[in-house]
Amino acid sequence: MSYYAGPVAGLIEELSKLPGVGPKTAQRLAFYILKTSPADAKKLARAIDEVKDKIRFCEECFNVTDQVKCEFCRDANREQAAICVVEEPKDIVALEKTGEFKGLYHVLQGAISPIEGIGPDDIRVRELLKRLGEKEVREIVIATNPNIEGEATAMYLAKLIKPLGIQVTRIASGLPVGGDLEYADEVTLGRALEGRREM
Amino acid sequence: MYIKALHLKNYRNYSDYCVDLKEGLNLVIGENAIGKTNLLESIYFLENGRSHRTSNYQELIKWKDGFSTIKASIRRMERDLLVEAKILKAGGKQIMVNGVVQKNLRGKIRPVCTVIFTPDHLKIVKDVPECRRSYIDEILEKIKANYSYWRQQYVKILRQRNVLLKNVHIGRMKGDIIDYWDKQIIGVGARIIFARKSIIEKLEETAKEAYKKITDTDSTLLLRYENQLLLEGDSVESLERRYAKELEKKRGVEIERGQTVIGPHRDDLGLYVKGVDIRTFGSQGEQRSTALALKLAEFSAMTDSIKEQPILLLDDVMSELDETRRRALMSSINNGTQTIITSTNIEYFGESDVSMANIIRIGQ
Repeated sequence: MSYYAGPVAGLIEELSKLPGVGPKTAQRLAFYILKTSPADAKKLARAIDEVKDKIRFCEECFNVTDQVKCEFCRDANREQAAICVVEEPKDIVALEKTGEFKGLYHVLQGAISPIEGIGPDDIRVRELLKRLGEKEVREIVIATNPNIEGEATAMYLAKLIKPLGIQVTRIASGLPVGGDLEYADEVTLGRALEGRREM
Repeated sequence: MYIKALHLKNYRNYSDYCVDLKEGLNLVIGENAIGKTNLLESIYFLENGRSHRTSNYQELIKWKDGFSTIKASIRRMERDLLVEAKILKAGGKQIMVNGVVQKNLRGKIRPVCTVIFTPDHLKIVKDVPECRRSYIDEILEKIKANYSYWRQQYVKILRQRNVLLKNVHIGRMKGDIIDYWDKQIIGVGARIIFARKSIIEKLEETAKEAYKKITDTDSTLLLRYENQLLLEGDSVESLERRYAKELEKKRGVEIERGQTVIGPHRDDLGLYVKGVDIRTFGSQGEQRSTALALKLAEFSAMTDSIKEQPILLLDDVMSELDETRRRALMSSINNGTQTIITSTNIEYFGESDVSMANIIRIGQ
């Protein structure tokens, strides 16, 4: 059921399939697109088209790229013996902003989650093991999300990789830097206390 | 702490209603279906951001096109607070303290603190174990900062684990990844078990005394934490080890059933008097006394935790109790506690109580 002419209703429907977009936001976006100049609208359409046409997954680390290998895998200056494992390409961006990690990445494209029907074979674990067999790797940094699915995935990877004689580390969780203690929520603060270090 | 005045607008059957309350005893007297319970419900809402009677809070709005407000001026720790709740038709609710919106009602710091007892609470004693677990959990969520987080985590892990077990059973996933959910469920489960153990021990101290007083006997009420794993004198480490061992033992059964069969989601609170299990074999009278004793124990645990007395809300419980129990209940309540009792009949109360009380007649 729709009150709008076919093409408008179709656009609203497609937009509302996007994550975080409900029917009302979809409607607002659709009318915004309707109002923009034909050139701008075409640009948007072309951008969507291109992203599906040209973007693929890096054959090494499964990050998104428009070439065979992504920019990190192509960069010979990066430390080749350390690989940071993340769930999604956007996690790489977050880590890169820190500038702290100079090694390579591996994108799992998900985390183990039985409810969503995702087991270890449905994420890029096999590909990671293949990489470890082909190259000399000293350390694996596991940077999956600190939720139950991410933790389960991290434990699974650790069990798999440790026997290969590679050092496996997990990023720490705790307080945000530069903030005041009083602003931290109880759970985060509790975690930080649990993970305290001797000085 | 006590509420000085309550103002309801467009709430349930009230269009615009103001009432003054006092520290100590307040009796709300009126016929049935006149809105006595609604009054207590509104106070409960200020504390919890939800009703104790319904999960659909839009039922609380009188005229379906408007919004409801509940306002209370509260005296607490020598400060005056104006606590205000707004319930909107379009969905959404808001609680403000002195004009500042409260983002989070979980945990210890709430604008007002109540203990509520209604005839419905008899199900804590009589009904399925889940009712007793939620009695314990609701107390813990109020007095232990992270408890509700850990409980939510437990539920999430449990759901994932159960789906996994089912998938392993039908051969869609391999069994070896169960280990990684086990590790997590043990960590969270052990925290829940120790929290429940310590609160039950604390509740027993007061429940015992209260029960004696209510029944006017020497009978002792025992509270037992019934958990499949915990043994006397367990440390976190020894419990976690046993937990892991038991999960390993039960792995086959769990895969077969597609369900986690051990853990705190199977807990119960055992209630015994003279070796008799009150939950199933207690008389009506014993069950009522037990429910009342548990509620009074909750009150004292809350008092210890927040270091002041919560507000005691008793909804129509007098008609459920006999003369002796009514008197015992009234004498268990501290003079300084703000107590709000609803009843159809003022004759349930002794003369001295009535003469001291602030009497609010509704519907006259």
